[in-house]
Amino acid sequence: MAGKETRIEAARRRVRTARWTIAIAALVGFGGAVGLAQQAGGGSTAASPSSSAGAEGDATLVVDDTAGADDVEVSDDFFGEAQATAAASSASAPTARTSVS
Amino acid sequence: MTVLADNLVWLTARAGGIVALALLTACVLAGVVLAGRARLERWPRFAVESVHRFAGTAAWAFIGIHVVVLLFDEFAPFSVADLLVPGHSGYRTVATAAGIVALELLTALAIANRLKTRLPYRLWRRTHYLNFAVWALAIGHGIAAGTDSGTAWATALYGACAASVAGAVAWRALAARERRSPTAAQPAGR
Repeated sequence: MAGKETRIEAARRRVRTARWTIAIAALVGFGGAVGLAQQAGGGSTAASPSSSAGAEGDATLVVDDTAGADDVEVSDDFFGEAQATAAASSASAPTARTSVS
Repeated sequence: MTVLADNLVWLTARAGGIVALALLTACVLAGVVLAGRARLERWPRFAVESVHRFAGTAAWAFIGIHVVVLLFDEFAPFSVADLLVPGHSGYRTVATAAGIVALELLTALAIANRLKTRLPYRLWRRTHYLNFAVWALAIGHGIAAGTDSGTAWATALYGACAASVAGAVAWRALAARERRSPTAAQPAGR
């Protein structure tokens, strides 16, 4: 009976150790993940959707520099791809595209 | 330092999600050990169950960090609806929806756990298997929505999580088959 209680107590001790290990590992892992995620940004804000240049590659700014265009709409989505789209007022107007990467 | 400060919200959210996945994996592994009725000399059932619960609770804490912190991202603001309604967010819509469905399913399963004593055991056990779906959705969400997925460390982490759960499930299936086999039920010489 005493032996069984000792085994149970030993198991309880192991549970407490396991819980502390999990908690500490989670906190250390959390700090490490912040650091690694920061590094993944390559020293820039590239990995964050909060940046204008996305992690998925170079942002491309495409300007439809159409003669006669009077309505330019700029959108910047979460993926960091900046796009400027000009809606031409005349479909037959000559088009010149400027791409800035 | 400026980079860290600028992205602290996003980095915290990502780190929270990554740690939550690791803890969810630990929880699933302990659950598989319990379900497989493994006889571990130094780890009686109550001990494994306690670790299983603790890992689940810790996973909840980091899921909370992951979700709540996103509400404070100034550049890519997630509304409450974005974080609760699958398909509502414009950010990697399908991947984000997978995470939301996983969270809501996990919440439903947590409620079922609280009601375990009031539910028929077979029903509870069957619903509990949905935790595998939660884990699968969570890892899919991490891979598809995470902006670190292409890095070596993230690939290693996702690979380790997937391999450990796959291995545990395979062990569980083999253990169940052995228990069902006639030779296991009637050992030779008896």
